[in-house]
Amino acid sequence: MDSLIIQLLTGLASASSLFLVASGLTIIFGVTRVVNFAHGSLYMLGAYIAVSLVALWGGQAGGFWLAVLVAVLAVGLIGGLLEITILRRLYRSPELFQLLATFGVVLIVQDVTLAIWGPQDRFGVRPPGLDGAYLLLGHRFPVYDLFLILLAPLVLLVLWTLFNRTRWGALVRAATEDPEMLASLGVNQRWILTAVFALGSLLAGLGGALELPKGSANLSMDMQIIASVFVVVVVGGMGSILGAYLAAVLVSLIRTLAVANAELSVLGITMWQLELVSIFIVMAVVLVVRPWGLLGRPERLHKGGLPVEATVLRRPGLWLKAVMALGILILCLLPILGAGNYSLYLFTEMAVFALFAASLQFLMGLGGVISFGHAAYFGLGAYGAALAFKALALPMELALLAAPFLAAAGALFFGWFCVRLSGVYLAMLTLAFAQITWSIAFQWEGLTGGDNGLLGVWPSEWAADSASFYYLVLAICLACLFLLRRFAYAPFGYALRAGRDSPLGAEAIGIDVRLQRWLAFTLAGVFAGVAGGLFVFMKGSISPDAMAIPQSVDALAMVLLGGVQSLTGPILGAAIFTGLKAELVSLTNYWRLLLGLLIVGLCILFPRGLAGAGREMAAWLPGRRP
Amino acid sequence: MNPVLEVKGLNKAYGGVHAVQDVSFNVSQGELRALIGPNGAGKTTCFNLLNGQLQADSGQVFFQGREITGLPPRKVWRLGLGRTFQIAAPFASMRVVENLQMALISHHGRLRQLWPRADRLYRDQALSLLTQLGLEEVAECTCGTLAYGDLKRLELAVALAHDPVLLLMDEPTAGMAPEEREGLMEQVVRLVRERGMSVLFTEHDMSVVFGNADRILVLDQGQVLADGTARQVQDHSAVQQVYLGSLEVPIDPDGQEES
Amino acid sequence: MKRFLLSAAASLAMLLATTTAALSQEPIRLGDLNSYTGYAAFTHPYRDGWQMALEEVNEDGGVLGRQLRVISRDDGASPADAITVANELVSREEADFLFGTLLSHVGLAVSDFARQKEVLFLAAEPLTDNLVWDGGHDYTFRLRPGTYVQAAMLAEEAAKLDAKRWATVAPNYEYGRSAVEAFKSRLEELDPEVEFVAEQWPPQAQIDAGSVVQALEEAKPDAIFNVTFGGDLARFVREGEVRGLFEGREVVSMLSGEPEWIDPLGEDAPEGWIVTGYPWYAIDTPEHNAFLEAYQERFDDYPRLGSVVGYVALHSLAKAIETAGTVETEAVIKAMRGMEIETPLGPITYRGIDQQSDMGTFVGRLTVQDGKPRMVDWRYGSGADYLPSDETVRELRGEED
Repeated sequence: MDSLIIQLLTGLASASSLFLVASGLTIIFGVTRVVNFAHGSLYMLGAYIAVSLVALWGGQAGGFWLAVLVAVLAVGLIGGLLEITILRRLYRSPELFQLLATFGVVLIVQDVTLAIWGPQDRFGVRPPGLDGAYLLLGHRFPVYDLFLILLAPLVLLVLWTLFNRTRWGALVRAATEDPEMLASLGVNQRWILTAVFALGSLLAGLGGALELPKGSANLSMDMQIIASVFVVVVVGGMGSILGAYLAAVLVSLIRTLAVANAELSVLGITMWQLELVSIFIVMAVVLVVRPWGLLGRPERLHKGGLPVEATVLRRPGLWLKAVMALGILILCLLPILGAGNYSLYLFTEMAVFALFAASLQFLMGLGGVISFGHAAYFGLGAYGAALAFKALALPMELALLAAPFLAAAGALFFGWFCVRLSGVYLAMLTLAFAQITWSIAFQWEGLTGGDNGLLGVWPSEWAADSASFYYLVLAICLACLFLLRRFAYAPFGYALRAGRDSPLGAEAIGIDVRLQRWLAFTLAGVFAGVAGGLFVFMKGSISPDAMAIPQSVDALAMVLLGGVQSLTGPILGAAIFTGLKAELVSLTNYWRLLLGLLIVGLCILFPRGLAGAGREMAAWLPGRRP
Repeated sequence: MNPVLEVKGLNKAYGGVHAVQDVSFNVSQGELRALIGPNGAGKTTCFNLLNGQLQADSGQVFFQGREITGLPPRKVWRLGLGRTFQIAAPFASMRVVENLQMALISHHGRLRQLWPRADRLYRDQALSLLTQLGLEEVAECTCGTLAYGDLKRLELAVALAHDPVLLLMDEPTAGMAPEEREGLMEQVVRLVRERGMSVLFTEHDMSVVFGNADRILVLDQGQVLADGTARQVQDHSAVQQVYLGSLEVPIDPDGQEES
Repeated sequence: MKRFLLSAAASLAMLLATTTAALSQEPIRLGDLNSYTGYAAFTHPYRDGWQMALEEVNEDGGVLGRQLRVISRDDGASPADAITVANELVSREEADFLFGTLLSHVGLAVSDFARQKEVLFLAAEPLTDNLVWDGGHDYTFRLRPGTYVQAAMLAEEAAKLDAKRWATVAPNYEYGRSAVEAFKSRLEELDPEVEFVAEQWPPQAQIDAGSVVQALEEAKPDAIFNVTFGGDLARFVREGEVRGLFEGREVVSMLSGEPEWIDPLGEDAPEGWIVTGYPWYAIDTPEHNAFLEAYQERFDDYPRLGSVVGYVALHSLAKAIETAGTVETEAVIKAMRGMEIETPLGPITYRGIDQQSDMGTFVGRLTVQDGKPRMVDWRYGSGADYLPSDETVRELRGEED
């Protein structure tokens, strides 16, 4: 019993660390509606700046706390600058476009941190006075953990007071609750958004700085925390600070219990196998039962200030058709024109990702169903093909056929739950399912080869050379892209859009919006699965990485880069993203910095995505009415 | 003759507030029936209960003799009970004519077809409906560019595409200029008579109500205050009290909600 | 004078090479790929290592009279990205050989690629023994001692302790699991009385250190076998020290003596742990002194283990090509099997049977001297003494004979 209490207290301390970071994210989302991927980067910067300052100002208690304070303020300042220089320009962009910009910021910060602080981890210093342990119930319990346990409710109280008992808080709430706020922003209200973003960033920095006494500042801490923090924010209900605290406590305690009973086995699954995925299971359960998190309110339908006419899905005009035809012709002639093996390989990869991105766009653009976990179906397709090839010893041709089936099964099952939700909650449920799928692939070593994956999945003899495989992939991808287009312009696609444009209106003319979305989810899964199947034969192997979060994020980035409201956009986005990344990687080891800068630059230059920009430019072409 | 719609003892409460309390009424075949009352009287709630958008706490709704209580909106619609909304919500990513084609596609049960091109389906039918409502000029426009009155007409056209037996219209003329209102209501009356369908509508403009409705149902604070012909309702003392004696200029304490 | 002679000799060699093959003026191209962005702490010293070797080789006139050129790429710490890069290196950059990688799953994917494309791949750093045993093949060699060798060396030290009740903590992935498995089986062989009373499998890079330490404490083991590294190690050490987990307990720990992982802990490094690692500050052999001096002069920094691995990897390829007398893959493979080469850690051999080098590692106890983590009482164990027998290897590789 005593040890259980100690374990629970330990879990509570972890919850506090998590809460500090999550509170910032939930504030930022609640007010600005920005899904801020860079929150983990701000957390990492907090840790690094603090570790440098602590080294400067010595080990005295005063020096330590001064260092933390300055680091936290510095991160707040960085956050404010981010808002002013980048995000402020993007509030009127299509939904989630800001996400792409913050993804660019993540890449930039990773390389800048590496350049400034070097590759080696920086071990943290414990603050004098809080470095020991109390004897508690016969166990030694760190004083610092007690400090954290007490700090979190204090921060919660301060934030609550700030938002509910001050004039500034009232202004913020007014800005949040008025849906037309962005349109009618006066200068002062603009600064409110900046201040909120700075405050949220500051809290991320605080979380990072206070993590130091428990470990080190290192270059992967941004990615390690971001998923957990999103989970906490969503489980708590986006925008709810108290919700974030409760959620942090919930997921931390459950994780602690999983660790404490690591060797306990239930139904053949051992607890330690569940540790990492436990928070995603918690999220899935919470969202299925409470679609807006523990304390969240139903999401307002958020149009993101998008001008209505910009969303119209037009059939391609003559110009675009001519360009597409020419493009396809060139693609078909590439091997004959003497493209080298590597170029063909890159184009093969672009084709695969174009299909993957297009399948996501089908879901997001037409259905309004945002997915943060689309890689699950890509990965299921890949594993489906790989398993058919390895375990069933089927030839490549049949294994490729198996790919969409496994993906479809997964999408059909998970989709049923997902389409009951909406907005970012839906997106986070897809993420939870993707992580659960990932975890199965990771842990089920006997079948999937675990983290090392399945190797030796190469094309049949006739398709082994670059040109033949390229033609195979090109043919399948073009056919699938054609089908997706056809579906989009068919009654099914129209009904899907009707449900996105006006769910009530759609229901009122007999459209079962949920069913339509579920089918779209499954279809998108099928096509992602086809892409996954091709992917595995292109790479020769498959590991759980193919369905991990970065893969889903890449797909999102491709879709957003190209333009979520255009059918051609994701193809363009995938080609540019894949090509750019490959070329930057061969150019420099600072490819993340360059890619990030390019993404942020594109966001600012083309705040409606490349397709949106293309459409605006096309309006100037002769023979088009504006 | 059996009424098209029969409502028996409908109740809906939010927290402690009775939005709709023990409301019973019916709509006859071919009848143009108005539902009026001051703001917050429960008109829209009532509509939402009828077409299944909200679940009633108690009470029953019969449509053409069949109980439809608790059915979701799309099933209610399939049975022939259409509706329009107080604030027009067209499919913004589609052209005007495509909005109608969408409704016709649904009407013909082809929502899940993956192959045919939707913009080529039922185009003539859609255009002729638009012509009936005087929208042929804007057929190829996107909804975002439409005047508000045209949006309301479009919504009506969308509802008519299904050939409803009964149409619920929530403030069909809200946000329109007075002269435009008359025009729209004339169209509605004509269509109703031509098609022999029934209409239940809410309206703030009393001249529209009294000039067109066959029977009028008055709600106040969720309860039925009066029910009868225009004359019967006008003479009803309780109604006069609610409207402060003037039925020509209804009190509208929260007018901005309508715009 | 000496330098002059050297360069003269190099020029002569160049001249000779020119006469023998007019086409071979072109440098020999080596493709390097590693997790330079994802795992910079280990890979940057590695890069410095091969960089220095490259300069040495080229200053000596290159190989077969041709200069060596390394085309280096980031593998993105992901198998899929690594395959793209490997394709680029082989197809566009026309690399004759591939070397590098750190992560096991990346190494395996590239190894499989090498087999498919029939390119020689020297897996420099990945620890998974799949590379040379279960999944071994002709085209992949591996330099660094694998999980099995390192765990077996530690098990040998562990068997000398009085501890009977053991707990293990290892990251939840193949490396962690095979390390624990190898350690357990070896230790149980050496001392049948040991029992394993608790195991913890924190997710890699996401350890919930407080809970893990508390759970281990609960089991009251005599000793702990640790496999965590990097940020996890830092958190584990900190929590363990504050909560008194290590008091009166022996800790045996994989890789924790490698400067890459232990130096960040500075004076907080756990004293008394038995670790594998690289005591660069204390190795006093002519070959290591020469390496150390050159490295410090070149980079104004001390070498990490990765530096040695990178350095030896490039020299290995150079020597194999030199021995083969050609860049033909099959011939170089043949030359590399059984090839012996001098390294800063002494001579090593690439075994013919599994193409694994018998490079060993250092085992010793951690201590802190002048605020810096140091290994003391260390010894070097050669891989030759710990690698499984030819018979076992054949069985693992699924070979008949």
